[in-house]
Amino acid sequence: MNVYARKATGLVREVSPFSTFVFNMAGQPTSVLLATSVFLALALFPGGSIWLGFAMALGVALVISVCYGLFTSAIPRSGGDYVLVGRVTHPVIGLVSSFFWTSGVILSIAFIALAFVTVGLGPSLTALGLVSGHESLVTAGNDLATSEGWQFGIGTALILGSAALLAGGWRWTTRIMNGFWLLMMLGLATVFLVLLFKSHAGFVHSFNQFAGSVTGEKDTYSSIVASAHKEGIDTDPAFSMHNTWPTWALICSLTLFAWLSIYISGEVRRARDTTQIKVMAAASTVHIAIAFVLATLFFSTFGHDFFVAINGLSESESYPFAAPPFYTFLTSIAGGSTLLSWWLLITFAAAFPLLMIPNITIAVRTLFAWALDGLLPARFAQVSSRTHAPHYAIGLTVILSVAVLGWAVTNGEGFFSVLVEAVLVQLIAMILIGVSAALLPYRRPEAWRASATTRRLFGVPVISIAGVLLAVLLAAVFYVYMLYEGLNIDRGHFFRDVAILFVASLLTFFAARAARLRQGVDVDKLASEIPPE
Amino acid sequence: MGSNVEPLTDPVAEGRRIAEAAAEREVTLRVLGGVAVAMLCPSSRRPPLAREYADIDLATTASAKDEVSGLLESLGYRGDKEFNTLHGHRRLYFWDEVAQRQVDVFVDEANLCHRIALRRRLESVPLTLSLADLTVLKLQVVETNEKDFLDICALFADHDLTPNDSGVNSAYVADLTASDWGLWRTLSMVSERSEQFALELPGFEAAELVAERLRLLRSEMEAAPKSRGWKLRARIGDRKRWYELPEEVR
Repeated sequence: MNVYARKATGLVREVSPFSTFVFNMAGQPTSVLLATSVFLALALFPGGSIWLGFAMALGVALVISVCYGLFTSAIPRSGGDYVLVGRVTHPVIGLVSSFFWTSGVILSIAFIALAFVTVGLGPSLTALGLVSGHESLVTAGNDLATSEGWQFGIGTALILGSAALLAGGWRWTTRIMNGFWLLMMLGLATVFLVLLFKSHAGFVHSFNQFAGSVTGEKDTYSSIVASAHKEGIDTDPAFSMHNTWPTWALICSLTLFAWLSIYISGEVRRARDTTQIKVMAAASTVHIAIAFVLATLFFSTFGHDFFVAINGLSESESYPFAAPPFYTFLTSIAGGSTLLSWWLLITFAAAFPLLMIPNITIAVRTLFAWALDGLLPARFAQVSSRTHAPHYAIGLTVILSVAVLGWAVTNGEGFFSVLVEAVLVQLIAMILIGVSAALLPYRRPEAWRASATTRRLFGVPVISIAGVLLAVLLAAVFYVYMLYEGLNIDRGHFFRDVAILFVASLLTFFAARAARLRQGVDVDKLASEIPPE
Repeated sequence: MGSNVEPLTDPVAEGRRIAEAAAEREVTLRVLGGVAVAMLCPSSRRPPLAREYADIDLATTASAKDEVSGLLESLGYRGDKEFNTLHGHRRLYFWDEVAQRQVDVFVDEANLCHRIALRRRLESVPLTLSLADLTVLKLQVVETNEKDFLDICALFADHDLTPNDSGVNSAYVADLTASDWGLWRTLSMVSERSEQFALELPGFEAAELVAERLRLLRSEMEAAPKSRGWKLRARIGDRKRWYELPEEVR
């Protein structure tokens, strides 16, 4: 007879593996990054192979999944890098890592709010107006994308809406997040189907017919390629490994953050076993698979040279349209239907609240974890008696995010010069998590023994191998960002900002520790504990 | 509130101490799980049903959980701050540093393989949950381990089925399963397995009695009129998973 070996009562946590998978995919919605990031590499780094970039990015993502998944199975607590790094190394290192990561997150929240208007709604409305021939929609799209008032108003509404959702508790948050994800996936499926059944010749015909009314030319398709050549854009370059590295770094934006569920692992079901590894790996693989399939279709239906050319021209004066050359715009032209354009607008816009939810959650969970350890006033660790959400931490996140959004709207140049550093600052935190994972079996052997695996390779724990490998890979991504000017990092500016964050985190830690010591609380001890869950 | 008394080494004695302290302070708190079975079933303390107890499980109401936290801290336990903040509306964890033993407190319900509402049942009997609730909580475990089987044997060896809470209240169990096909499916399945376990357990003199009582419980569950939801879910049957698998957190 079958008798099981369960030792303890057991626990069913709140967030299901499917919602965890969605949460991890939401950290970098495929639809937005395919439109705004991945294909920029084609013109920026001619000869760089996006196919090799996809494979290399997936490789990094799988190492991240193994390393972070195993690490969080050892310490399934909410708070992410702050808890993982701080518990294994030292609380002050945890706070430094967390300061780096959370600053990036707050900047990202403001950016998502701004991009919802300037990348999501504005260009989509303009594209819809162009395709449907409604000038008023083109004007509305342009107004939205350029008006500071609309940017701040709608951006703030998105932040407040997402925060209100979180304040309502997990049940509604996961339902609505999964709904946005489904919309995004349906939009991508629509793009796939439209382009699958549209021949290249058919697209060229549709495009010329559409563009003719804007440019007055019969063959705008060819003239765009010719304009790109005039601007020095090589649309059919020979393979270049040198340019594949920055292409890889850009494509990594699709997969680098498919592990954000470690911030809520105290609430994720089956956090103790390999579920986290599986959902992280699945999220990255789905991202890359979609990007691979759609890129193949974009090149075959739109035409390789044309697609490189139109992406390369998007910021130049030779670009003839008011809407940017996102695949959604080109697919709307291919489909030639107002209904299709509306549908693509809705599904594309859905990706922004989807992206907002994990970002706000991360900031909230981090502030919550700081407060639990005494690094912030205790009220930030309080939860609502009705919804069980940390409402004070949510409120603080909203205030910080809206303030940064205000800065972003009024001083776009200053904001974007700092924003490009966010990914690098976050890479530092991710490298610290990798190093801490490598140290786990030696610094906290009892936690390591409780993790999903204690296997060793050549006598070395798997998590240590994964941690070191990950730290090296992420350091390589970091190096590529620093090396290639096309990735827009101002090194002097970056190191200055890192120094500011570093000093601010140290000041916060030691000030909080001194204040708590006067109250008889030992922060070092409190922030080192791993409760025997 | 600082601790003024250290927990006792024997989990059953400690479970009783906690329950009595709660009763004395008029805090709604009941013992459940193996420790409660041991408190109510003398045969659980003798071979072949005697076993070790790794932890203590308790149940309370949402309105009493703050009082329970204060009580347990005064009895020498340390709460898991993060867990209790995030999950305290349905579960609390406390830790006994000396015995390295955990106390789980269910709040209002037990959300395990099935969701079992406890709030209205907490005051059915003093100190522990009622025999029927203990039975349901044991029989709803899909991945039944040896300790669960031994506890089920002890419950049915020492207590007959009754229409009220003086014994195992079979009317209540049948009523619960009449509206929840999944619970009915698991309870039927595990009670069959328990019957087989009892009959194969070496030196267990009450095996036939336990088997007979388990069969009777199943027939009462079978006979109870079922809800429309139960019938609709029954059409899908085992094709869709009907239970959760709680994770081991230690």
